[in-house]
Amino acid sequence: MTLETGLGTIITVRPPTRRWDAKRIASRLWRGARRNPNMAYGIGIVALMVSIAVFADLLFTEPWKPNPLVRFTSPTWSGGHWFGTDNIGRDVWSGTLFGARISLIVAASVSVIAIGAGGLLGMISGFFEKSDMFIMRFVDGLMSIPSILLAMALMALLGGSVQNVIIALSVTETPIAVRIVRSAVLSIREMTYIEAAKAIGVQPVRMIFKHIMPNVVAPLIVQGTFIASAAVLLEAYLSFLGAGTPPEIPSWGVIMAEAQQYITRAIWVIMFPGIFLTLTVLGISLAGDGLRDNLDPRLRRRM
Amino acid sequence: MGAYIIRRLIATIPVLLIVSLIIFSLIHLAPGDPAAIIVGTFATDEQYERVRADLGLDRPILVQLGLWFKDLVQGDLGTSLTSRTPVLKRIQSTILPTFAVAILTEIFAVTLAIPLGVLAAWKANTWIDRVVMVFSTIGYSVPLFWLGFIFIFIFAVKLGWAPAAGYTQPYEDLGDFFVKLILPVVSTGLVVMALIARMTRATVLEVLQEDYVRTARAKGLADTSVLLKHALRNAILPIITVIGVGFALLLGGVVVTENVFAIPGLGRLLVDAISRRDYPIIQGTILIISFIYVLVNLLVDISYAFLDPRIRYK
Repeated sequence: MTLETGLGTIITVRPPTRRWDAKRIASRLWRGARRNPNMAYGIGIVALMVSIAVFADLLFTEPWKPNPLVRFTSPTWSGGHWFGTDNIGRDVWSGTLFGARISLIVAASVSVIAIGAGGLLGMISGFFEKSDMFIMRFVDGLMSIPSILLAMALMALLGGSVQNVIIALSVTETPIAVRIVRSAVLSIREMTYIEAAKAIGVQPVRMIFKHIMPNVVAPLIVQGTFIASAAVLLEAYLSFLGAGTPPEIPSWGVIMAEAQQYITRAIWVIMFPGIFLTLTVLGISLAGDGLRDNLDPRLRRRM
Repeated sequence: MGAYIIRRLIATIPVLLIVSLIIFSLIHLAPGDPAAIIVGTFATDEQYERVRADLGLDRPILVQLGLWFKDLVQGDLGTSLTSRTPVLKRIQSTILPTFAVAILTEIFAVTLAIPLGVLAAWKANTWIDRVVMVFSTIGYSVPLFWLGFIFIFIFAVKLGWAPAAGYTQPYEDLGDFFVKLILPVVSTGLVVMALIARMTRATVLEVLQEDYVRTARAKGLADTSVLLKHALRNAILPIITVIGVGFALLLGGVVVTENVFAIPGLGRLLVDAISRRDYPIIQGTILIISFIYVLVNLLVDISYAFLDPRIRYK
């Protein structure tokens, strides 16, 4: 940004860090993955889950429908039901693969909505002092209610559907993103280049999008991965407690919730979706830890 | 010290007010008419009117808000829509099992997690550290209820070491009380422990890199006394924060655990209320659990001041 004064001086005001473009992020990630094998495993697991979710129809699945002829079949390699069948003869392999779809859709939607809304509110809160008090009091209040309980209460009123699970979890996860962004904005706001930008009369909206946002992106992406892994777990909890995905849709939580009644007879029905769910959460968290270390070295912690 | 505690107490009031306000407004945030949602599609007009009147939804919203706070101050959380008993009574009769599970789990998790976390930090980048880290990373990825059912299958159904589910009040049969809580406490505890161990390790590792630790080592202090006298003393505050965070996680977790092991606590009450759309019970339970959470955080803050005189004078 340049400004010519009457004396012909040019003042250049630019943010101290480089902009995050896709190429730079990709090269950072590649370098990071080689140095940090955990992150490579994490990304590998997530990629695997995404591909089974996308290609579930091609991976020898059958529709999630009752088949009384094959009730309680134990897992076998030869019999066609690799993960066995449940109490009404539905194929657990198919349910587990379709479940990956629901979980990943919920995880991705919740994290996009939460970091979008949280990012916006956090920046407003950090940048405009008048709104800060109001927004942060509300955020403190929301964060004082354990997220699973708040989500359950919302689901009780909204009714069970995948869309409502996404809404309820976005409400519980947004406050965390607001806090992260606000604290980042508060420290950026004190930097010299912001003062300089203010001095030459940059408008607030432009200031937010051009000067502050690029520096908030890295912590926000990292937080987005942690929100995604929490959303996968919370969807399962909600469905297990009967306040989540409706029973006819095969999400991991729904399959496990139904399987609890006959664990002594068919432990495999609860076991396989649980293992897939654990792997997914593990993969997203490992990837998130790696992202944190690579995208923003200032946030690097030994955790 | 007294002044500090009073200041913290006063600072808690707005949080409690906002929490109550959020829980009050939950019912009004849903699209459509809350009373119609609660009675469902097949209700008669009379049922609908009764629910509307019970919840006070026929009054203007500001009057409702005023009454909500007035009742709250008087300890009145409303009346259950299905059983017609006061919500507070229902909560009082179910809170003991929840406390029992929560407190035993917290003790179990903390006593194992903190030594493990310290050990992992002390032996950073050795096999001990790696084992602890792998265990804790898996630990917080596992769905709590799934672990509970796998434990029931292995330890109750297959091995017969512990009862699968149920609850006995401690004043009826203390031995039975503990035996029945083994599986719930261990399965919930392992998940909470994973988180606490991980955060303890991070905290201690950070402290171990401080200049004064290097100085202590340089002047020839034995490794163990560097750890015990210098590092741990300064790591204690963040570790207490972690215990507080762990308790918050636990309050959500206990709701899940109670429904796995058929423990008649607040979590069961809440889930039953949700299936019956008994909104006063839902609001009351969530309000009480959130208040407990806020109070635990307050205790954590106050314990800082006891442990670190610098905080008292800020």
